[in-house]
Amino acid sequence: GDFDEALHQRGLQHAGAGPNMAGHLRIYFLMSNRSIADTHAKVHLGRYRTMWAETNSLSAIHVRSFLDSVTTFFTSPPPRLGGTLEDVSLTSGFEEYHISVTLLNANPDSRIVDWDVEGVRHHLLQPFIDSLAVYTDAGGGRPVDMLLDTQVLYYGVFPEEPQYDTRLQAHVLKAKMMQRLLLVNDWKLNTFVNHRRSKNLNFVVYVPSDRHCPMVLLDEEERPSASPSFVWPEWGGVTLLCPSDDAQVRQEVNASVPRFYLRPPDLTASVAAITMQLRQLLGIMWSLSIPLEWHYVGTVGAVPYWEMDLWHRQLIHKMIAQAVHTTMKLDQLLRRLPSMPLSDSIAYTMTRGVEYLSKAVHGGFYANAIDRAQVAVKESENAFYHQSLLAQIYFPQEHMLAVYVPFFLPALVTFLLGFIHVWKRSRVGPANDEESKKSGEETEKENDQGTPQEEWASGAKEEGKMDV
Amino acid sequence: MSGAVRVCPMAHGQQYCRNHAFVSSILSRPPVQWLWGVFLASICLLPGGRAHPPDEYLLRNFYAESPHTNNWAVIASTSKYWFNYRHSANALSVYHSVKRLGLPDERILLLLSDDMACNARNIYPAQIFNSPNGRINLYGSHVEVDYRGTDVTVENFLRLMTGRHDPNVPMSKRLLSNAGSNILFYLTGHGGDEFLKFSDVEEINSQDLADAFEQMHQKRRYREIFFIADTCEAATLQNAFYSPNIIAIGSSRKGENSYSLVLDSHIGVHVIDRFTYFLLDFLERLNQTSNAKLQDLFRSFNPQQVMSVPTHRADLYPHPLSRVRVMDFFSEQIPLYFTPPVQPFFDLPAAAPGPPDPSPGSTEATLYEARRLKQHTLPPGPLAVQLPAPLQLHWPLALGALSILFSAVVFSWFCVDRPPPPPPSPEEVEAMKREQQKQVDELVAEFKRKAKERRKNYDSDLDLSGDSSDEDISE
Repeated sequence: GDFDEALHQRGLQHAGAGPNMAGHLRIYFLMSNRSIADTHAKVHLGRYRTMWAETNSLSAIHVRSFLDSVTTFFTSPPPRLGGTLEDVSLTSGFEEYHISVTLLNANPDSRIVDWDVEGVRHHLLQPFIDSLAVYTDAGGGRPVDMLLDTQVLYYGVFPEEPQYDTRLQAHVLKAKMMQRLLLVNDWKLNTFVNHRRSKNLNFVVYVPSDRHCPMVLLDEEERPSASPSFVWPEWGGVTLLCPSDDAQVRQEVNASVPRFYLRPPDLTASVAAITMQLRQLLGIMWSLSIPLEWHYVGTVGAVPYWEMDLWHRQLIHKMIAQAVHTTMKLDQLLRRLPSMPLSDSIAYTMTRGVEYLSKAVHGGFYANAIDRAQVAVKESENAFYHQSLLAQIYFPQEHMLAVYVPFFLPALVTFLLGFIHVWKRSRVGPANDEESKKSGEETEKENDQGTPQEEWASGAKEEGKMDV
Repeated sequence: MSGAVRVCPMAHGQQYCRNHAFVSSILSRPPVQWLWGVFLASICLLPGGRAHPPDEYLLRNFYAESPHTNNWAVIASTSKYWFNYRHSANALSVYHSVKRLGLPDERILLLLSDDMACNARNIYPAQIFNSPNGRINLYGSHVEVDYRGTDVTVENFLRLMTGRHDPNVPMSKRLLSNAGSNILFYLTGHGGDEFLKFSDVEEINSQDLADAFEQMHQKRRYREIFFIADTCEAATLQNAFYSPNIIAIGSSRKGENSYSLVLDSHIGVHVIDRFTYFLLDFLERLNQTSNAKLQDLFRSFNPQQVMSVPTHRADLYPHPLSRVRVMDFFSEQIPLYFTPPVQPFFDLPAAAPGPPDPSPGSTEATLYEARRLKQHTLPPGPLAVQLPAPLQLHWPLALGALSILFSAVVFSWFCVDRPPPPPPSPEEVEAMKREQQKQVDELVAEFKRKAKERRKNYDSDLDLSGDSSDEDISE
């Protein structure tokens, strides 16, 4: 640890603190004149961004194979431990993680359990959570926010009564039954989510009734699990805790219910399990599966800087994929509905999102890339979920007719009828031209005879009866 | 060579002589553990560099089918006015069934278009019933209605489905589903050929629903959807669906009506519809562990009793109905994953710790790190020997010179394509498995030993006449 610290300080002196430190790994080869037979490199991996290999041979083959193994380790997916074949880590990256830790006393009538929450928080939980949130050597930037809440709840129940196993001499809980633990309790957990880019993760320290202790979990094959803890994807985890007698508080003789006060030493195993569960859900498992021939100097509790870099890279990739997917889907939606009105604000938001996406992809140090990816996700989602994009309600043809027909039908009918009339006339017209001419001439002759008065007058003249 | 500096001839130049003398002084040192620090410049992990093929798994995981991780339910009664009392009763009955089977309120969105419970005509104020006998109040303080009254509109419903809310809408009124969500949609009210009436003033079309589902699918906001409609000509609502992983059932076919079941002579209106009644009848016989399949549910409807032909649509659903559990949509059966064991890493005293003590040696390390650095000291490494002062002064120069040389060699290796490393051999895998099994066995033995001790203490406390048998006391 001291040597690791010394190397880290030397690295800081050379390169300086800042965001350019992230994503780098310094490897030192240390020559030692140990026995020739012992030619394996003793590899040590520090808590910071340093690695050192102790060797007595710097042959090209050794160095090359070593560097191959290092490259493979640092560019591979996070391993899956504990027989977990599926990836239970969160599918998306978030800006904020709300970590809620609950002490659930299933049966306060049998014992009262309290904890030194400030001690637990200060000494056990907060350091680990802070190590995830802050780049201590990148100017104090906070790429990801981690908020921690704690609470105590009472009266939890199991889906079924645990059975006592004589072979294990403990009460057993089967995995199939525990699947329903989430449903049978009214957890009253903190489910506050203030925006789409925030995630709640709940971790419960479940203290069973004293008559159910000790307790063992059985997996799907009904074999005892190595640890009394499990996770639900996207939700959080549960760890069982039967308080030891050391935590019992001395009371008066006639006290009816024993009291337990859990101090940080009593909760180290539970908090270690919570830490492990958080790693599972966030996908930070590299430091737990280091090659056997490497010696990890740090502890599994705190997250080493190089592992944090790997996690941030993973977050960046997830957020970039998310932003790209959202942008593509919005584009497809707009192409499918060309009549959808698109306001300038959406266009501006999309442009900004694409711009930040490009910046996140094409360079920048980790701290900058993660910020840009977060902005890209935020802008793309704001554009996709803009409230004005709901104006496209399906307009069926029948409704269109029902709305527009009263306006156009009268004029249309009139026009149509007139057109028909004109058409009919145009069809009848060429065959009767001569007849119409003749009828027109006769009409003219009749008209030449003058007006009816004149006709009468002429008629009267001819008769001689009237002297006009 | 001796340690003395030789006087070099003038022809070589003073600088050469100084360097030569430096090298000579190095080589002439007494035999100690020579420290030849070499650095390898960075394994560049920057995201802006060349894409590493192993990172493609992240994209594959993003687009892969998500496992079932949570359930949601959207239950809506879209009718107003007192004579549509039964529609509210329908919705509340399904709401209670879903809650009984384990879905929490935070993942149920309930829409009631009218307030039947506090209607002036309700002779049972603040109560809603779904049967004339066996009065179970469906409405109470434990019912959380998310959208009520004039909030139940086509616009709000579509906003709920597509997620396009006003920024001021609280999160409790949003459908915060994701790619692992199974969503149950239950709609009841008055409807017709490919439409459903909302609050007697507007209607939603099957095409609207289909487009909204498609937008949900594009944005990966659901894994599977089970759509149930209890209206007249309800099956026509599902005609326009075209997104995958949707299974739908309607209470009646095109041209058919859906009928109510029973009239409550005290309340004066019908209190439940036939289709919903038989749906609830089926669900009442189930619990969270039931293995009843969707096929069983669909076959349980008797058209003569329902007085219409419930029609389902499964062509968009990839799995056979005989294998899909009803509880996949009405309850949550989320698989759990055990946490690998990890040794406690905190080295704290048994007594309560005092106030924090800042460590002067740490730079940006937290208090926890300072304590760990102090307490977890490793055995001395290869650099435990203190370097002599001149070497401490000059070794950076040596480091720099050698690092330039080696970096040139090493960077050339990065440019050459190398075959991937060989996978671990079966023997190595077996060895790892044996190691894990050994750890499990040790833990089990530890549990047994502790349990035995506790039982001995327990028996001795109870003073069981010295009969300390190891037989269990089954409960």
